[in-house]
Amino acid sequence: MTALAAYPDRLASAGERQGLAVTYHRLMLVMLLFAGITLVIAGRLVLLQLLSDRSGVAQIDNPLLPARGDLVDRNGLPLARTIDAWSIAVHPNKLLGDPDELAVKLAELMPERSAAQYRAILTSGRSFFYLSRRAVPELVSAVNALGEPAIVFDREPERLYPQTALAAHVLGWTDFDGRGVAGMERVLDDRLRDPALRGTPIPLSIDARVQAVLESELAGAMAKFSAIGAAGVVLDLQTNEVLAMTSLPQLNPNAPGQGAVDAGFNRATLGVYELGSTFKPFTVAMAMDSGIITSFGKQYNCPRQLNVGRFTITDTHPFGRRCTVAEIMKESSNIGTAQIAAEVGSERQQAFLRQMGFLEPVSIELNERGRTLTPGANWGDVATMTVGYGHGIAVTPLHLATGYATLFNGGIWRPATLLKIGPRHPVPQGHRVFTAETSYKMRALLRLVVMDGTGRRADAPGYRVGGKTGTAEKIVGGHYSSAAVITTFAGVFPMDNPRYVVVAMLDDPKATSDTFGFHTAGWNVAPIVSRVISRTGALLGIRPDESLDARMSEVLPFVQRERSH
Amino acid sequence: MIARGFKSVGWVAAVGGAALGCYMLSLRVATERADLARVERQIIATKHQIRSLQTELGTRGRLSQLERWNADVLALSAPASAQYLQNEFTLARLDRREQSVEDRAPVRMAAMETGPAAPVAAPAHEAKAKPAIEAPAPPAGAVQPAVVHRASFTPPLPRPAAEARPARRLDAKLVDAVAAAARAEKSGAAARAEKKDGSAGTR
Repeated sequence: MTALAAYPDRLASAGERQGLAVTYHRLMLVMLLFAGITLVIAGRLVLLQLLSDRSGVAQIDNPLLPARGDLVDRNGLPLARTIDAWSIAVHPNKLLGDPDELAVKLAELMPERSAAQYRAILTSGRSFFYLSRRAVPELVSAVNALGEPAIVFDREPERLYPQTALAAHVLGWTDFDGRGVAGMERVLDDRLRDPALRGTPIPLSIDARVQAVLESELAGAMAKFSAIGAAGVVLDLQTNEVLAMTSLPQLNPNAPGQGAVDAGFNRATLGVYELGSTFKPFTVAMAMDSGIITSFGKQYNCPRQLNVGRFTITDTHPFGRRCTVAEIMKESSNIGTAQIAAEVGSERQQAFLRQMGFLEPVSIELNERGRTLTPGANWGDVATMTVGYGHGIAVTPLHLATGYATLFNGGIWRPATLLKIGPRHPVPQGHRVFTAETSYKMRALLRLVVMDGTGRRADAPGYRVGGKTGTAEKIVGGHYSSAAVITTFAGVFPMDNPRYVVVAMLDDPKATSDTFGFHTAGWNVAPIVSRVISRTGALLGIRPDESLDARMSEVLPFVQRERSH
Repeated sequence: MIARGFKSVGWVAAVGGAALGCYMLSLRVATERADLARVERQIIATKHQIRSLQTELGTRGRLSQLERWNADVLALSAPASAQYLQNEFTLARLDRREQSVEDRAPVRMAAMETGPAAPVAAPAHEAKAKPAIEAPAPPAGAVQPAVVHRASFTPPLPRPAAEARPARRLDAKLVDAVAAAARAEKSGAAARAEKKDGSAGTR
């Protein structure tokens, strides 16, 4: 303004005055323009300031969010984590050094490929090639020391299973792109990758300590008896949470491609087996619920062999006399159980088995679930009798565990679960299969088997173990063969107030000098259950007490004691 | 005129000063904010480090590894059922140590005194060997102080049943007479014993 006011005398004529007005207008316009630009810049600065502040806060939380959520056991021990691993890659089209020399050096450092293969990669002219993924830091620094600028290093998220082979079949594993392809990794894939949910670890029902004990005992027995496979389940029978579930041979989910050919096969949920005499308690319970057996003193005629149609049923401990239900169970008599099953009848047996979920794939979150094998349309009298003692029906070891849970938790069937029961995952409702009275009476019967019957080697002093052995012949070449067997033990403890089910199974165990040439369940799997229970019972909150026991007065009067073995 | 001219300069200076102050303040704030961001980045880096170290520790101390160490070196086994105690009474019963010698034979006290004359007797022997040293001559025919042995043993006195029992069955007078005779006998024996003691002892 002062500049314009400095020369007023020079503005004389009207034409000049008009020119001045135009100049004013123009000046005004330019000033407005400048003011506008300044305002826009200032506004933008303010906006940036506000926005960048907020985005800074958001960035602080992001880096800690793993690329894939953690899986932890029921006590919070990490079972699967995602870490940043190094990857080594090369841009062959940007190579500066001598490919021949570099290929030799690379082959020395990473011997999985030969120098010729490295040379082919380096001279291919491609824009990008992974030399190694999931490389260890030592290798990265060694390759970096080669000084080739075309070789680049990057950090990629890698799924790590800190406990290596522990619970491998439960956890499953992921592919190179971080997608779950088996086990719970596959089941929970969406939740593990959801940015809103992956920050909090997912607790599984597995107890790593129990799992470790089960795996080590089963692996020891598998090696000792030269078995081709093994499976084991520990189930909390009040909630049906799976505390431990394993399938051997072992598999390392960190490198799922390596290991035995059948290691990826989950014998606990995918493999179906005839589980033999472990079915007998179900048959007795069905008969009790149907009113056929009211007392364990009920007698059946137990000859040395029983001919049914063209079948002959035999016993390993033949009675050759009349025997009570308690004795049938104690000595695992097929002949006695077949007669009980015949009284139960085909329809009732099928109805009970259907209610227990034995006629369909086992109820658990996993996708690896095997179809059970049943007599199907041929479920006649003979089939009813053989199913009564566990032949002619093939189920998974987990079926057996849930069946025993149903039998001893008061008679209510619930699906098994691998997710920890808590406020977000309540105990499922379930449905009643057996009466509470039947469930209560069965305790003494199975305790008898371990105290005085075929399962004596499963006893763990103070833990009041009850259970049933099962030895089933395998079908080899279309025929049952006594040379190859599946031995199973289903144990429940403590029998005065059942809390846990332990199922152990060995596939084709051989006789050893320790077992005096026997390969039946009482000699090879029963000791596994005994050791698992005595090692984990206290961890699971069961205090050993030799002064407690089930009410044995229910069964002991019905057992003749003159026999000695 | 000059004042007016200076007024604008003053304004400019004031505005300039205020602007500079504001700028300094915002600069200060920006520095603080940058510091904060750096600390937050450090926190994140540390958290990352903690997580990776925890993972490494968990992997090195995995349960199968612990089991292998236990099999190779430690050889620990699960406690047997007898090792769990149900209550404090069973705990108290655990404390059953073997009886020591003291427990089997009760302590009996014994004392030996050598009398006050013993230190006097020793220089007497020395006086003979070293006549140069003047020593008080021992009284002729001084009796060598006898070594006194005293032992006490108090066996638990059996309760004299005769005192209580007859009171019920026998005549009270007869019992009194017997008791008086017994007391007389006892005091006589005690007097004899004292006399005997007096002749034997020196004091």
